[in-house]
Parts: sequence; structure tokens; C-alpha cells
Amino acid sequence: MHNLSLPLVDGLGQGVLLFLIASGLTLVYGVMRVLNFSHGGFFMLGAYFTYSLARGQALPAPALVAIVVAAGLLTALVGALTERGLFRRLYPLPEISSLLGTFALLLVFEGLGRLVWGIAPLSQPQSPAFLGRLHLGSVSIPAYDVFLYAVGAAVVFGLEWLVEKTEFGRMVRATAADRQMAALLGIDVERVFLAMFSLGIFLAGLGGGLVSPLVGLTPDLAVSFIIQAFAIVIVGGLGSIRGTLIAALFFGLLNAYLVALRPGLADFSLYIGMGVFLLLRPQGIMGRAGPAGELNA
Amino acid sequence: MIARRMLIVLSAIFTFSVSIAPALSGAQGAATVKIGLIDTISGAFAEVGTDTQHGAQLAVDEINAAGGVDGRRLELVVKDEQLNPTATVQALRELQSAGVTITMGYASSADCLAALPVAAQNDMLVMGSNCIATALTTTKFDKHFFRIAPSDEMLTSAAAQFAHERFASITTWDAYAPDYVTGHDDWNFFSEKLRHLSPDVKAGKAVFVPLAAQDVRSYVTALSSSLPGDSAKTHGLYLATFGGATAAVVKQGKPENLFGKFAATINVGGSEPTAAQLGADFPDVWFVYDYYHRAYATALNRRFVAAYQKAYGDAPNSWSYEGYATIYALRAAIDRAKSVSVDKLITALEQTPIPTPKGILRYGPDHELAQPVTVFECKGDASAPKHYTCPSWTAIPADKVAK
Repeated sequence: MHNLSLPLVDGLGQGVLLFLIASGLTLVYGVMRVLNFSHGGFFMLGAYFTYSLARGQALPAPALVAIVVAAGLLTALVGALTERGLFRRLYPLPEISSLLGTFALLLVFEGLGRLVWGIAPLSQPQSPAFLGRLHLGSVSIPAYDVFLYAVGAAVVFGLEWLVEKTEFGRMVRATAADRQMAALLGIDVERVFLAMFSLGIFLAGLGGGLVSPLVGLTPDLAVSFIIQAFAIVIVGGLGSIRGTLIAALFFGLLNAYLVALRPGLADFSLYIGMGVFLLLRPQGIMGRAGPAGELNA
Repeated sequence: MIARRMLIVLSAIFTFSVSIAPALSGAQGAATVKIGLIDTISGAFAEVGTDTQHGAQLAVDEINAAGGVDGRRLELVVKDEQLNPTATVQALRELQSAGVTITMGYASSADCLAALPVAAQNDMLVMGSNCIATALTTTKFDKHFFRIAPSDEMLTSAAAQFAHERFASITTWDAYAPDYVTGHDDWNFFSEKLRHLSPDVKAGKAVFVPLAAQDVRSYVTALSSSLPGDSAKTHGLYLATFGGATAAVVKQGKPENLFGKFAATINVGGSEPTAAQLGADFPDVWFVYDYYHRAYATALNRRFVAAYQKAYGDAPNSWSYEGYATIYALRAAIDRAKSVSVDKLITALEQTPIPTPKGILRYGPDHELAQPVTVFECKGDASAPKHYTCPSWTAIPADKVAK
């Protein structure tokens, strides 16, 4: 008899991590209509920045968390410079051009990763405090997963508050809906783009930092999670934060339960999920039918 | 009329130049023997190709310093195959166009399988370092292929032999292996061989993980939750992942104390670089692979280890050894054949004793080296300079390793 609480715990943990990785991707598309293939490269940078700042040492939890946030901010800085230097030129172009341009940037990041951190795989140890487990009755949850739930919740509610409840968020929504009209109304569209792009890249770097204690670090980390991130963003609905969260949790749980109950199908969980959703609801879970890309929390 | 004659003369000169260009530039000139090293120099497994190149270049430098072979110098021509069979075949064709007929390296069995028909068609030699698929010397045998590393059957056979001799108290072996044909076949072979040696031993839970999976927590849970309470005394783990996949299961298995739930872990195909990567986090694991620098007391090994440490600042690993051994195998063959003709080299390799750091080895008619398989233990140690140690090692003799 299978213990069905185990895949639930694993699936939620996987799902939250996938959401953190994909949230920045959907945010950038929602505002700027740019399919940022280099998102994986920023994710990789966040992981490597974490390793460098922590010097590859096992640190107390508060120190590791602070370093992960710092790595996210560093990545955002790189993102801001990239936005100024490259992405700005991609906005007026067709989406295929932004896809190709950002893919080229992804390859550049991979090469930079090899140049700066070398080809030998690296490892960022986990904080000892996160190696424990939280016991809730018969359910045992890894401490790091509990931390990830908290981060995921903070990101969801933080983005929702920013987009829906603040003056800046109104400007963002207006820019996402119609950038020309927003400019005519006096909104500094370039600053909105820069701010939101940097925020999206901060989330990518944060995701990389949070993943770094769980996997080995190699430059191909840039492409490791990006396919899943794209699938989640599409299934969730381009530009929808809540849709991304629901899709990420769905894929995490689907994979976990298939591994437990039907291991032979687990490899295909991503494609099964995508196939089902795109047949039933091609605009995505929270996407709107018609022109895609409106940002909504 | 004069212009037409000029055109004909120029065309003839051009055609002649193109036809002899390989002989003048890249081909086996009188003074130099060019050896094409096709390996993965970029990407996640760049370390494999780079270490192979280091070992090969060291051997080339030593041989050249001693006067070369058959009056000729050796030269490596390096091509990056990016762990991609298509890129491997492209690299092979480039070498063939440049007149290079002796090739070595090849990071994976898929690369060798893709390269072999092309090499056979163009009469090129393929010395496979990491191509461990047994099929290459059995069902897919071609005379142009010689293997340096042990085959996957030899490795799993050695693993079973070691498990039988060393861990007789373990009654059940579970598996964590990559989810592809070789991963399944090797586990089946290991468990069958072990049951043949120890009929009371059972095969337990087998978890197969997608090759590219990074988040493996579900797979860790599937394995961990299947274990009984006394598994730390009665269960062993057959681990067949390598590189990043091993790093992922080690890191994500820590909250579950996964490796602490087994009396022993045997990692077939894994090697010291993974212990180096994970440092103090690395669990107590017995690697079953090609080479460990402290396992062989031959004069050539002592010289190889010292020279490699001096040149590259670290001890050689399996990949470095394979690059080094391949060059010395080729030297022995060229010395015997007094030629770089591929047909003569094939005959020479089949007949010549090959000097390697593991000892003097010989190829069988299947072009498999009869060789010992190395088993060595590594574990994390925060107090050690590199945060891990490898305190024990042994070599399973060639006659106990089934081919």
C-alpha cells in the first residue's frame, strides 16, 4: 500500500521550486512581450553567485538566505545592464527575433560560466539547519521545503500586491496593456521595463540560488530547468503569476505521483501535462483567449 | 587563345594542389604521426575530454622527448564532439578530410556507435576511451574499433564479484540507476551475476531516473520509503549514476539520510571527480571503474602519476589514464608495424603487448583489453585537505572479470 502523503510532500516541494524559477519568466513576458530564453542563463548566474559568495561552505541558515538574496540582487544588476544594452533593441522586433536573440545570450552565459567558474563541477553545500525535517503528525516535510513554501508564498503575495495594489503596479499594467498609450499618458515606459525586467531577473537569480544546494553546479544548469519553466509558463497562461503557480504545483505533483505509482510514465509527465492542457485550454490555465501577454497577478 | 591556355594551366595547378594538400598539410607526413582526439571539450562533461587530452598530451610529450616512434613525432589534433553523436561524426569527417586516419577518445558509447560505420567506410582507426557498451565488441563488432576502458559488462561483473567477496552479510541489493537501455541491462547483469555467486542474495527495489533529471527528490523518496528498518545492516545500494546525477541524489538524499540506510554503496562507472566535487558531503562509496592512481604499483604508473602531478597539479584520474594508455598502445602498435597504415596497426594491436600504468595488457580477438577493474573507496572528510579521502582500493583481476 503506497503512502500517498510522501508524493504530496515531494510534489509540493518540486512545484514551489519550479514556480520560483518560472515566475520571473512569465513576469518579463507579461510586461515586455519578450520570450526570454536567456532566463536560464540568469538562473545559472544566481546559482554560481551563491557559490562564490558562500565560498562553497556550509553556512548557517540565515547566512545562506542572505547570500541567496544577494546573489539574486547581483543577477538583477547583470539583468539591468543587459536590458539597457540588448533587450531594449529587441522590444520593437517580432517575437521570433527576441527568441533568437535571447537564445544567443543564453549561449554567451554558458560560455561565460565556463570561463569564470571553470569546467569542473562545483557544489554548494546545504545549510545544516535545512537538512532536518518538520513532523506534522504522520507527515514529515524536509525543512528546506518548508522554507521554499515560505519563499514561494512571499513571491506570490508580493507580486500580487505590487501589481494590483500599488501605483507602480497600475503603471505596469497600463504599460503591459498598451505601451504606446501608456507613453502618451506620461508613463516612463523605459523605466517600467527596466524595473520589471530587473525584478524578473532577480527572481531568476533567486531561483538559481535556492536550487544551488540541491544540485551540482555546471554551466549547463542554464538549460537544465528552462524547458520545464517554459512549459509551466505556457500551461499557466503567459503573463499570469497565479497561473504559473498552479501549473508549477500541478507538474510537481504529477511527477511525484507518477514516480510513486507509475514510474514508467514519470519521464513523460511534462509532456502529458502540456498535451492535456493545451488540448483543453490552449490559452493556459489563467490566460485569456485572444492576444496573449497581458500581465495579471 | 593565350588566355584560354592560361586558364587550363591554372586549373591544372589548382587541381593538383587540392589533391596533394592533405598529403602536405594534415595527413601522415614522413616526420609526424597525427592522432585525432575526438572528445567532449565543452559542456557539462568537459572535464572528461579535457582530462583525456591532458593524459594523451603527456604521453605524446614523453614519447617525442624520447625520440618519437619509428623515427616520427606524434601530434594530437583535438576536436570537440560536445557529447553529441552528430558532432562526433562531423569531427571524424573533418579529420578524414585532413588525412588523419588514427583517432581516439570518444566520450560516450553513443558517439562510438555513430562513428564506427563512418570510420569503417573510410578505413580509420577508432580507439574508444569511454565507450563502454559491450555491444561494441560483440554484436556491433568492427575490426577498426579497439577499447581502452573495461566494458560495462566487465565493470558490473567486477562489481558483483566485489560485492560477493566484501559484503557477504548483505542479503538484498537495491538499485538507483539511469533510465535508459544500458542502465537497465547493467542492473540486470549485476543482479544475475551476484545471484550466481551468492544464490541467497535478492534483488530489491530498483529506481530508474531520467538521465537529465535534476530534481530527483521523488526518486529518492521512492527508494528510501521501500527500505525496511534494518536496511543499514542488510541492504546494499547499486548506484549506476555518474557526474551531476550522482551529485543530485547525494545532495537531495541527505535530508533522508539515504546513504546511511545502506550497509554499503557500490557506484559502477562513477569516479573520484564526483567525490572531489561534493567534498565533505560525499557519502562512503565504493567506485568500480577503470583506474585509481594508487591502485597500481608498476614503474610506468609511478612515472605517470609523478609526471601528471607535475604537469597539471593533481593526480591523474580514469580519463587521464585512458588518454595516456591509448597513446602508449598506439606507440607499441606503430613500433611493431613500422607503419601507420590502419590495417597494419590493427594487426599490430591484436598481437602486441600494451604497456599501461595498470600493467602489460593484451587485446583479445574481440579487441577488448584483458585488464583488471579498479575498485576504490572514497568518502567525505571535512578535516582532509580536499574534504574527502580515498582510504582503500583493490583491483579485481582480469580473470575474474567476465567479458
